[in-house]
Amino acid sequence: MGSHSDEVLVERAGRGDRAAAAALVLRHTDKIYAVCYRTLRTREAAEDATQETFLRLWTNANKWRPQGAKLETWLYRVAMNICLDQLRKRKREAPEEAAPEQIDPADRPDQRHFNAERRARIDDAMAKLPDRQRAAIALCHFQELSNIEAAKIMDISVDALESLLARGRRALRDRLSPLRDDLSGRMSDDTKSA
Amino acid sequence: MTQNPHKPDSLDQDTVAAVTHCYHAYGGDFARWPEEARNAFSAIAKDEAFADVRKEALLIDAALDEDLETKADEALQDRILNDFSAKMQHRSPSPDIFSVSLFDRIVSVLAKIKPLPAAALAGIGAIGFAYGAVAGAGAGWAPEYEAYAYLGENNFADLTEDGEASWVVD
Repeated sequence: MGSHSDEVLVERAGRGDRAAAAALVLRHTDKIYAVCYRTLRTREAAEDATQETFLRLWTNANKWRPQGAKLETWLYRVAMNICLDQLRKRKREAPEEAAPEQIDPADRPDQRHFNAERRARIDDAMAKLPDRQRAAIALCHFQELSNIEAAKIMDISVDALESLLARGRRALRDRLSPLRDDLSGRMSDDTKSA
Repeated sequence: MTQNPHKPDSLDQDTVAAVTHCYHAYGGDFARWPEEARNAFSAIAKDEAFADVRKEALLIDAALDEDLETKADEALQDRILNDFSAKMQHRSPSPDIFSVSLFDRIVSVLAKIKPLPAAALAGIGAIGFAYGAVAGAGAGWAPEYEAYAYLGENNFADLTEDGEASWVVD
């Protein structure tokens, strides 16, 4: 089942085929969860957003036709909208706590391998980015989507996407300036180990 | 960002602006640049003129690469699949007319038709021919109807972000 295209799997899932649905879940959950987590910054919120994304897929699977949008792009787009809606809702309900939470250190399986303070600063800098800048970085840097795909997912032009990316990266640079030497040292280490 | 005042003369302003823009938006790893920009600029972008901007971009990349590795919990996958099962259970079972093949349906219809006398069949054929000749004498399909004729079910394709299906118009 895993070798079938997304289109075939969605069509089968739309007819109630659980194995096809399972193959889709296996193929796409990690990517969708990752983008939700990087945008929302909490495990629980990211899980809810991922679950909601797939629920919308199941609701619409029987209407799916193969010549339409690429499934992965559609999933990212739905996920991104759910995440941005959730962040907007947070801001309406509790403006003072609008910034996404800093990632719980317990969520970091690789904690032994980094300096906790540096990580905390990076998390904080990421969390304080405006939502759409963080979303653009999540799609392009972490999910490694092309600029065209990312722009399509965010429903903006490529120019607007590049502007979000550049502003987001500039804000990160400014917030992380105290870590310059530390990060430079790590870059040199990475170069040596590579 | 700092720009090196000693940039070579061979780099015109537009190129400098384009390369700098790529570093700002996509970072210091050329593999992350859009293919077109990578092909056009990756050689030039290594020029000493961009050393500062490249270093800045690589620092931000390094910071981003320290951000958390994420992987979904298996329990999440189970919950998503449970949603699937629940959704399918609640879907009202509607008779799927397409589940029976066209051939089977033709055979079943033909099986119900009793043999007609040859004269009656010839008569029906003649009436059909005459009707076709009269109707065909009128105007043909207007261009817009011809266009619609090519819109099959497979064009019913794109799902909007809300999950609604919509028409794809090229």
